[in-house]
Amino acid sequence: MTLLTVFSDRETHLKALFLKSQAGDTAAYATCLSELSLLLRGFLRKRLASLPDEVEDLVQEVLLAIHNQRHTFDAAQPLTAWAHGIARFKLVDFFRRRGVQGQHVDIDDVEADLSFESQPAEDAKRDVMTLLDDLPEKQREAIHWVKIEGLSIAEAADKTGQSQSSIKVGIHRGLKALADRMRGVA
Amino acid sequence: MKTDDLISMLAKDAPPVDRRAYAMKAALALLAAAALSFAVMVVWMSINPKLAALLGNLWFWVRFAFIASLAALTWWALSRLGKPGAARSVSLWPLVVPVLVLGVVGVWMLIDAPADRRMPMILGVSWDVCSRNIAMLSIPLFLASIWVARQFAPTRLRVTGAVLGFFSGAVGALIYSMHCPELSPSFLMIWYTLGMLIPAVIGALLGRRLLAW
Repeated sequence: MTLLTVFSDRETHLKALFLKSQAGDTAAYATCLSELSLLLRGFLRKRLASLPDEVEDLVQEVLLAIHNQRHTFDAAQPLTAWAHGIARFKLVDFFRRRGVQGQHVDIDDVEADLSFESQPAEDAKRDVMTLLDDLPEKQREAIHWVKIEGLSIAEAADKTGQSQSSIKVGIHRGLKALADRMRGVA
Repeated sequence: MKTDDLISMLAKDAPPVDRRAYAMKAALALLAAAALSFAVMVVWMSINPKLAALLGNLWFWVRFAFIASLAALTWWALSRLGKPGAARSVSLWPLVVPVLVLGVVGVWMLIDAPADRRMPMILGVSWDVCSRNIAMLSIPLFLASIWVARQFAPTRLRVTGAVLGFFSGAVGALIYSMHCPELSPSFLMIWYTLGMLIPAVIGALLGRRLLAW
């Protein structure tokens, strides 16, 4: 098997999973995010060789960005190119935040960049839980009951006295706000 | 939180993605903004009373093609700039083409004209307000475009800001052209382009701040 077929097989596989996820298959979504996290970790570890402690935080930030912007994926484009575009954007943003000017981020060779090295996760420095605790009440409750405790939207609505649509909006906005907090801007 | 836990959290109950709803919201926001600009034009400037007669004039349609092609090209660029992966291959060079074509026609007509006609062709009767009016009419579209861009995932923030500013300027110019009596290509090439570039420059300057995600 040539290297090229490995890449195109992986692209086909991941894209199929992601399209299922977009249609509402949450099991496919979890698998897809897990596999993407391996690629992302490899990609970021290579780019952050001098800052290994930052890798896992950035992996998490990119995963959240993938989730929040998942409606921008168009089935006509390759998924790996899309995910790579987000990872690269977040990496550049990370360097900019840290004041590392002129960091060269190699943008070519998408396939080689997202190389599949099963990198085990290391501990993140930043605790997402703490950031979640800081969100406005409604968003925090919505995320807590549905996304962490695993209640349905209806159950969470009962539990909190919010309406079901308020729970849905709370989750959506809360995850967007979480992304801002990860960047340290909110 | 471990990365695996974050993944479970994100996937848990993740609703299906309705891409059409996003496209619809974007279209509505931009239509509402265009309607507001149009209303401002009608109330403050009024529609050109001779507009109906102009429809039979070739130069009216040249002007229309100039502005509409810029609106279409910027729109096309924006639709790609909002998608990671696709954004990288967006080139801004096609935007130069309409300006260049009109510029060549304009210069050729200036050379062809008697010397005392040249300044009037360039300045028309409204050179002093044209760019400002276009920039002003583009404000609602600029704000709506920023809002729309924030619903997507632009990765080239400065470029996206510039192009959405240019797009707002082009739609603003399209609306302004229903008031404006000027049809001389050299006039349009200078004052219309300048009017569209004002929001484009503002967009480029504010892009990083307004579009970060």
